Amino acid sequence: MRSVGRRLGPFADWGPGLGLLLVAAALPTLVSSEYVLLGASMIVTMLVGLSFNLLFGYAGMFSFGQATFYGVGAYVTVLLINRGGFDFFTALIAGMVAAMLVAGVSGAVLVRLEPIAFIMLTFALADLFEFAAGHARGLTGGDSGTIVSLPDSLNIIVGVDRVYYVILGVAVAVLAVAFAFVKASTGLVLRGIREDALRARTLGIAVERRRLGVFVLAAAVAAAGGGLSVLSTQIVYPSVFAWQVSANALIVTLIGGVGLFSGPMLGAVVLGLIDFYVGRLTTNTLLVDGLVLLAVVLVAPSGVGATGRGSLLAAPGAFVRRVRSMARDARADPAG
Amino acid sequence: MVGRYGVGARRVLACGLAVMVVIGGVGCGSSKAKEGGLAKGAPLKIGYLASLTGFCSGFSQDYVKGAQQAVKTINAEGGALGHPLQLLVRDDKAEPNVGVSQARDLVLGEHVKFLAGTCTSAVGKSVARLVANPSHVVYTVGVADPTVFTGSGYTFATIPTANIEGANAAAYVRAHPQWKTVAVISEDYSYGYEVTAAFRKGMKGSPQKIVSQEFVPSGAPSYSSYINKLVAEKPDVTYSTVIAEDTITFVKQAFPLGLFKATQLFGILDYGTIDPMPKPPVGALGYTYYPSASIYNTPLSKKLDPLGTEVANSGAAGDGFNQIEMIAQGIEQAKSTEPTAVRSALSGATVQMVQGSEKIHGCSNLTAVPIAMGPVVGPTKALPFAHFSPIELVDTNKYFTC
Amino acid sequence: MSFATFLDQLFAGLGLGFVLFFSAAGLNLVWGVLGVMNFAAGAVYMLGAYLATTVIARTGASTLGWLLALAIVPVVAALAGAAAEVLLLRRTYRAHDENQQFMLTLALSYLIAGGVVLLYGTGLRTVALPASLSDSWNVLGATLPKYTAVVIVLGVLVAAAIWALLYGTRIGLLTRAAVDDRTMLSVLGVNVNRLYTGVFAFGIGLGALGGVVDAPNGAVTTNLETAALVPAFIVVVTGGLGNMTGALVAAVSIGVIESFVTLQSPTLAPLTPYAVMTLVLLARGASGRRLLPTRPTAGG
Repeated sequence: MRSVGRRLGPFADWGPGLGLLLVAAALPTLVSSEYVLLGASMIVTMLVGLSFNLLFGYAGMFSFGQATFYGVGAYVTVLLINRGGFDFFTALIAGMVAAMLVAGVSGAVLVRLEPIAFIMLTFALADLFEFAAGHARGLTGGDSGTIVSLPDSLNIIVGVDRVYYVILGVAVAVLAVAFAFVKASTGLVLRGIREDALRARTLGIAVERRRLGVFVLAAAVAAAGGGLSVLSTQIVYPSVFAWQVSANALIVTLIGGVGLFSGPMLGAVVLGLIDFYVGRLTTNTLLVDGLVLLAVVLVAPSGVGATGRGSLLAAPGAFVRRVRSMARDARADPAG
Repeated sequence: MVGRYGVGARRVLACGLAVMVVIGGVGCGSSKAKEGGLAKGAPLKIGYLASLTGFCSGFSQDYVKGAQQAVKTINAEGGALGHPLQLLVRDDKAEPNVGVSQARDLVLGEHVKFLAGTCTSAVGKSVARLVANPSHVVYTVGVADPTVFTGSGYTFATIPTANIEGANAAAYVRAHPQWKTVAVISEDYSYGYEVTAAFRKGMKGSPQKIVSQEFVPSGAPSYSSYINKLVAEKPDVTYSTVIAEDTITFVKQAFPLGLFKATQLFGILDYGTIDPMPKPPVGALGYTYYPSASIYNTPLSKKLDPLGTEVANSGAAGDGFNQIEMIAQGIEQAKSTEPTAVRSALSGATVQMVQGSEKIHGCSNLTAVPIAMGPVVGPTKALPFAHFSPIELVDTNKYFTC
Repeated sequence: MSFATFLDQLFAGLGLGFVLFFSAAGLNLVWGVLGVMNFAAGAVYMLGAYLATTVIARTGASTLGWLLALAIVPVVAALAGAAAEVLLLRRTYRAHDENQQFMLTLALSYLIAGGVVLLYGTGLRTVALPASLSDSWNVLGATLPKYTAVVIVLGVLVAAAIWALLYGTRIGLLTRAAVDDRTMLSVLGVNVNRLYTGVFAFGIGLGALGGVVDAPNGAVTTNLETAALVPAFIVVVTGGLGNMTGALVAAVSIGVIESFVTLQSPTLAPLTPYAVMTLVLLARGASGRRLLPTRPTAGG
C-alpha cells in the first residue's frame, strides 16, 4: 500500500485534478446548458495543455507546436467521418494514430535538437500544417473550414449532456493513460532526463528514445483533444493549427502549475472561466484578459495548483519579501 | 509527509468548493424555463458578433456603431412590433470556435432568437450551422462565401456573394473592349479564389486575355514584389480584389513603384479603405457594395448621418445597420417574433435597406443589393473624403438565376 | 529575368529584409542578452506604429513630423519598458524563473494590445509619408522607392550603432560580462539591476522604432502585432540568439529570398522565413555566437 502511495506521489499533484473530475462528472446536474458547453471546451483545452505539460513539465521539452497534433486529430477525424463514412470513435482513434505517426517521423529529427531549435521547429511544423490545410481546398475545405456531419446522437446542440459525457469519458481515459505513464518508471526516467540529460546518458539511458516516446504520447493526447473539439465546435478549419493553440496549451499549464499533473486541468478551468466571463463583460477582451493573467502570474507565479514557493498560499509572504527586496535594490546591489 | 498531505487536502477542498460555488451560483441564475412568446413590450434581444481582433478588425467598430444606430432609430419609432430592440455585442476574434461559443452562449444563455454580424466566412459558416436545426435562430450576415447561405434557410445575406461580385466585374471588363490584356490579383484565401473563379467564368468567350493571376498573402507587410511583377507585365487593366487593410498596403507601395502609370487599376475599393489613405488612388476604377451613406439618397441612408461623415461612409456601418433593419422588418412583415415565422417572411421579401428597396431571393436567401462603381476622386468640398465620381449603380438581380 | 527585374526584386527584398531586421533587433537584445523570451515584442512594435500615427497626425505629414516620431516614440517606449522591467521582470532573474517570464511577457502583450484598442479603437489608421520621401529613383532601369532606401540606410545605421555599443563601449562590455557572470560583476561594484533595466529598455525602444519605421508602409492595425512577432522570432533564431550581425544577415537574406520566390510562386512565398530557419537550424543548431547567460545545462 505504501509503495502505491509513493508511486502516486503527493496528493497536491493529482488531488485537485481528481476533485475537478468529480465536479465535471456531476456538471450537467449542477448547471445549465451553456455552462456544460463551457465545460466541454475546458476539457478539450485541458487535453492540449496536458499534452504540453507532458513534454515541458515532465520531460523538459518546450514544444511550441502541440497545435500540429491537435489539428491532425481534428482534421483526420472530420475527413474520415465526412468522406470515409466512419463513425466518430473510429475516426477519433484514427486521428490519434495519424498524429502519433506525424510525431514519430518529425520527432525522430526534432528530439535531437537543442531547446531553442526544438521550440522554433515545432512551431514551424504547426505553421506548415496550417498552410497546407488552408491551401488544400479540395481536401480540407480551405480556410473557411469544413462542417462535420454528425449524427443527432453526437450533435452537441441536440443533446448537450450526452455529448458532454462522451467528451468527458474519452478525456478521462486519456488522462488515466497519461497518469499511468508519468507515475510509472518511464515517467521518473523522463524527469531525470529533464534535470540533467548528460548524467542520464552516463547512466545508460537512451535519452533520444525516451524523448521520442513522450513526444509521440503527447501527440496522441493532443490529437484526442482535437478530435473531441470536433464534437464541441462541429467545424474544423486551418486555425486549429495556429500558434495561438500552442500558446494556450502553454498558458493553461503555467497558470495551473508546470509539472503538476493537475496543472493543465486547473489552468483550463481558470482560463475557460476568464474567457467566458470577460467575453460577456466587455468587447475589449484583450485588456481584461491581460489584467487577469497579470494578476494570476503575480499572485501565484508557480501556478494555481502549486504548493510551496510561488503558490497561492505563499503569495502574502512573497509579497512582503518582494517589497523588502525592492527597497534593498534601490540602494546598491551586493548579491546580484 | 503528513504536512504535505494536509496542505494538499486543504487545497483540493478549497478548489473544489470554490469551483462548485462559482458554477453553482451562476448556474442557478440562468436555469430559467424556456421562454414562449415575448411578453408585450418586452425587449427583443439581438446578438451581434463583431470581429474586434483579427483580419477585419479595422471595420468592426463601425459595424457595431451601424448596428447600434439601427437599434436606436428603430426603437425611436416604437421598436419591432412594439418590442424595443436590445443589442448584445460579443467579440468573435474572427475565430470560428470563439464565434460559435459566443453564438451558443447568446442562444442558450441569453435566449436570443436573432443573430447578426461577423465579417469572416469561417465564423459565418459555423454560426450558420448552429442556427439550423434545432436552434431556429434567424441570422443576418455580410460575408462573401455562398455556402454560408445554402442549407438551413435561416441565414440571410446583406452583401453580394463572391460569385455575384466576380460576375459583375467580368461584365464590366467586357464592357471595355479597349482593354485587351487583363491581370488579376486577389488575396490568398477563400474569398480571393471564389471571386477569381467567378470572374474567369464571366470572362469565358471574351477576346480579352487574362495574362496573369496572382494570389497575394493577406496581411503581408510588403506587396512590392507582386507590384513589380505587374508593372513589368503592363496589362491594360488590373482587376484587384485585395481588400481592407491590404488595399492600403498595396496602394501605398504601388505609387512609388509606378503601378498606376503601368496599368489601369480596377477593383474593390471600399470607401472605408480609401478614406484613411493619405493619398487615394485617384483615377482607379473602384466598386463597392458596402452601403456608404453618401452614395445613396434614401430615408435609411439619412439615418446613418448622426454617426458622423467618416463612420456613415465607412460602408461597414451601413452593413451593420442593414443587418438589424432586415431582422426588424422581417419581424414586422411576419407579424411575429418567432424565428420560424420571420424566416418565412424574409424569404422572397422586399426589404428597405440603406441602398433602397432590395429583394431577398427566396431560393438562396441572398439579397440583390446594388454595386456602386466609378472612378476614384479625392476629397471635395461636398464630400470631404475619397469617393467615386460619377457613380454608376448596377442592379445585381440580373446575376441571380432564381 | 532581365537585369531591371532582378534589381527591382532585389530592392523590394532589401526593403522587406530591413523591416524584418527592425522587428527582430529589439528581441535579439532582450532574448539574447537578458534571456527573456519576449512574447510582447510584436505588441511593442505595434505600439510604436500607433504612437507614430499620433505624433504625425499632430505635426502633419511633414519630414519634421516623421523625424520627430522617429526620435520620440522609441524613447517613450523605452521608458515604459524600463518601468515594466523594474516592476515585473526583475524578480524573475534571481529565481531563474523563465515560466514566470513567459507569462509576464504574454500578459504584457495582451495589455499593450488592449491598451491600444482602448486608446485608438480598432479602426484603420495610416501614416502619411513626407512628400519628399514618397516617390522613387530610377536606378539602372529599376525602380527604387525613396522610402525603401531610407529604411535600408536606417537599418544599417541601427545595426552599426548596436554593434558599436556592445563592442566599443564600457556599457557594452559590462552588458556582455553581466550575461556571463552576473554575480561576479556585482561584486566588482557594478549595479547589475540597473544595467539589465537599461538593456531591456533599449531593446523595447528598438522594437518600437521598428514599428515607427514600418508604419508608413501599410495600414496600422492591431494585426501588426502578430505580423511582427513571428518573423522577429524566426530572424533572431536563424541569425543566432544574441548575434546582431547574424540577425541582420538572416533578415536581409530572408527578405531577398522571399522576394525572388514571389516571382516563381507567390503562394509559397510566405513560407520562406520558415524554410530558411528550418534549413539553418537543422544544419547548425541555434548557437551561433550567443550571449546567453550560463545556466546549469540540462542539455546533452
